[in-house]
Amino acid sequence: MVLTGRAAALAAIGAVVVAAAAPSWAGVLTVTGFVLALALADVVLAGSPRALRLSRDGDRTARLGTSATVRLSVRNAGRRRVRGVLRDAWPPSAGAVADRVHVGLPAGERRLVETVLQPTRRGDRTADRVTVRSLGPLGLAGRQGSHAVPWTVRVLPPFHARRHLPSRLARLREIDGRSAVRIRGQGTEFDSLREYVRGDDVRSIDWRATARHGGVVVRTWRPERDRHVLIVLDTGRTSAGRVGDEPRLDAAIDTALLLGTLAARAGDRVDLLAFDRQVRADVGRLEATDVLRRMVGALAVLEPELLETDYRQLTAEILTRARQHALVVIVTGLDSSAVELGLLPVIGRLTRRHTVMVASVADPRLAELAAGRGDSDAVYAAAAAEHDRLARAQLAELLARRGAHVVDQPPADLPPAVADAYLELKAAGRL
Amino acid sequence: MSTTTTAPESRPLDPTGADVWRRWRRPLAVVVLLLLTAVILGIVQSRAGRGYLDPEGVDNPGARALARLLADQGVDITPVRAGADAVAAAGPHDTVLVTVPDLLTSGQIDRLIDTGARLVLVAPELRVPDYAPGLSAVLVDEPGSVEPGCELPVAERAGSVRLGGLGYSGDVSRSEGATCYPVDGEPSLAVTATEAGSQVVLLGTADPLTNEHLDDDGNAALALGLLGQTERLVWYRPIPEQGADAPAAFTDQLPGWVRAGAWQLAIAALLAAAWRARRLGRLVTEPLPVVVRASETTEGRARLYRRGRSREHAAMLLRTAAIRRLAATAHLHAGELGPDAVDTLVTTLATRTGRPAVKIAALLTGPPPADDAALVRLADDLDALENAGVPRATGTSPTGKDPRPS
Repeated sequence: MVLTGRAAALAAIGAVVVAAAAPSWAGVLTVTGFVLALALADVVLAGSPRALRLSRDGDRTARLGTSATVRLSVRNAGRRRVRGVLRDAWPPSAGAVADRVHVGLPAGERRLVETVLQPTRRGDRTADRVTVRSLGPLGLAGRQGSHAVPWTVRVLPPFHARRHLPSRLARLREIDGRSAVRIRGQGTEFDSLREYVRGDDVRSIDWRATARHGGVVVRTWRPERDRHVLIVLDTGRTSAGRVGDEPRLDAAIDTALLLGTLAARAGDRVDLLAFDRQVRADVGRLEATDVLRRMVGALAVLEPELLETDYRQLTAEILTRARQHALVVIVTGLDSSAVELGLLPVIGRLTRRHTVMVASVADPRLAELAAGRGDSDAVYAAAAAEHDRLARAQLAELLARRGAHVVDQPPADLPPAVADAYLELKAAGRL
Repeated sequence: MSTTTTAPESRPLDPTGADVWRRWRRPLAVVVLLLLTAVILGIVQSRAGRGYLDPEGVDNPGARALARLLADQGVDITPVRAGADAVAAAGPHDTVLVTVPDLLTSGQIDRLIDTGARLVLVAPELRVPDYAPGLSAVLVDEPGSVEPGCELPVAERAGSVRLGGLGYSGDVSRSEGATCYPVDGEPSLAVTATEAGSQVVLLGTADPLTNEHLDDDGNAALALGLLGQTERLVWYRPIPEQGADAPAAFTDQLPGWVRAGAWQLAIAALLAAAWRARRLGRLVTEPLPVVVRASETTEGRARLYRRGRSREHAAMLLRTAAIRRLAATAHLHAGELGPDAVDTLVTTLATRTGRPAVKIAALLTGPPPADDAALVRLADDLDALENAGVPRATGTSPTGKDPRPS
């Protein structure tokens, strides 16, 4: 049972009646009794929220930055008209634009209520209850009831780096030789033999085959394919630190998406692993047509954990997943203590068998602080920033000396930089 | 980027009447049981003693035995607690027994006397002059068996009774009264008249009236004699009351329509509260992500440097960073920066910028700054050197991006 402002207003008007006509206890009781009796009649006459049948359909996923629409079908299975307010409750970060609507639903009818969500964070957003407040004909009071109508909208990472994809794909085609430029050299592998046609490079003539065949035969080449790319996201505590307005992990996800898409288009096998002290996401054997959807789905619910990443165990996980030579891309933050104590001791085991790239999300704030001049506070801050930059640079050097390729860039530049590094390695045939 | 599917229909979450009953029946049973226990205990308790000179009290200080005796004698007993009730109940031909006369205010005493009723006061002390002018109370021996020692018929009939505690000295001859049962020379029973002329009896102690002592000596005879003289007896056990002489409360002075209207408005406010208090569904919670800036440790370190005034350290860091950047532009490998390499760098920079090599060397490897101002100057000088030392073509400025990724 709920009361409305009208009931209170009626009682307040009753105060005038009491004061003017019956200034006594009996008058107060009569007026209040009258108001309550009307309210009670309203409650009795209000349609029952319990009798509503609700169901949902609509979007299951939404990319962060876009909106999703979830439709709520409300059917009145009761005998009375339900008139009142309906609230479709969502968590704050689901960004429901208007979660309250007025409904007037005669018995037996069905209506659609649309809720537009503009999510503000990545991850699963689960609908809470649907609450209906049904008022009686006088609008003095009514009934209220809630329904559980489960629905989950998965908010996918925005993949801002997708704008870098066309240019990288173009470069990939250049390397691939599908475009006009065809370079023979390191980084291409033997494809097949065919008869010489005029215009072929004479250097590609295979003399041994020519001798056996009778006609002139040339070798054709194609770039390496079917290489294994293993993308590893560090979801430990360094990934929780905010760079700009986003945690490092979001930049790491963008990087993984761009690299994964690119590598899958290039014909490589892409695996994805997210790890801190246990496996948080594990997507393997991605098909080129399916890679983005599956990676996005797996990465959407990833959250930074406030744990130190166990790199020893992570190395073991990597080695079990990549038995053959592979490109292992570890996306992390070059936080001196965490990496020095964790990654540095084990990087050798990885570089011995694989090509390893360490992609690190740098903080532009460091450069900002390092440029600080003018008063002693700013200069001390600059010195502190230089300390951290020196530590990072030294760490990068140490990693490079152990055979890893280090890419350290601010969030916006990291995905294209990693993609470029991948393309360079591919062109050089070092995958 | 969205898939459309349909979920099964909802289920209502709010309890039905049966659910509510199932949930609340146990607590309700407990509450009912507690209430029953309380009622039974109350009934049992009410049979036990309830207080001093209570006509229904069966314990020692009670007076049920006396009340029964009086009732058997045909006396109509009216027990009252409020002063106004006592005044209303008492008439000129009645007796009023006041168990704690000192509790009454002067106004109440006056009104009681004005009824013209005969008063029997149990152990009055401070208020004695108000009841019986000319008399005053004095402390005497504890109650004990005392001989009448007077001509009062009631006392003579009763013989020795248990009296004492308080005596009443003064002159009673004006009202043809009597003073009996002297203890320590002061009578502990006095019969006199009020200002209005009605009879008033002052009893030094309640003992002769109580259940405990009623059957001792002549106590019962005295009590019956004092209280059974009229057909009606008002048994007044006073409770502390605010005197009617006190000014009336502010709210009592308001006109009736204002009070009634205010009450109705209060009810309206209650309804408004009930309206606003009910949420449209519950609050929705969600776990929020941790907000830690990645640069937090750097800023913390900056504060440490500042607090410790570690100029030496800060200068060393700024110089090392500048040397690394300059070495990168001079195509020297930063990793092998020994003293020789710094000398080479100084020479290179001297030729490139045209500045004296000594000054450049002092800037890059000199002693730490003496104060904060010197540190700030050092930072600016290093910037200037980098600006001059870096060929314009590569376009790096000290405030912009580094040639090396940080």
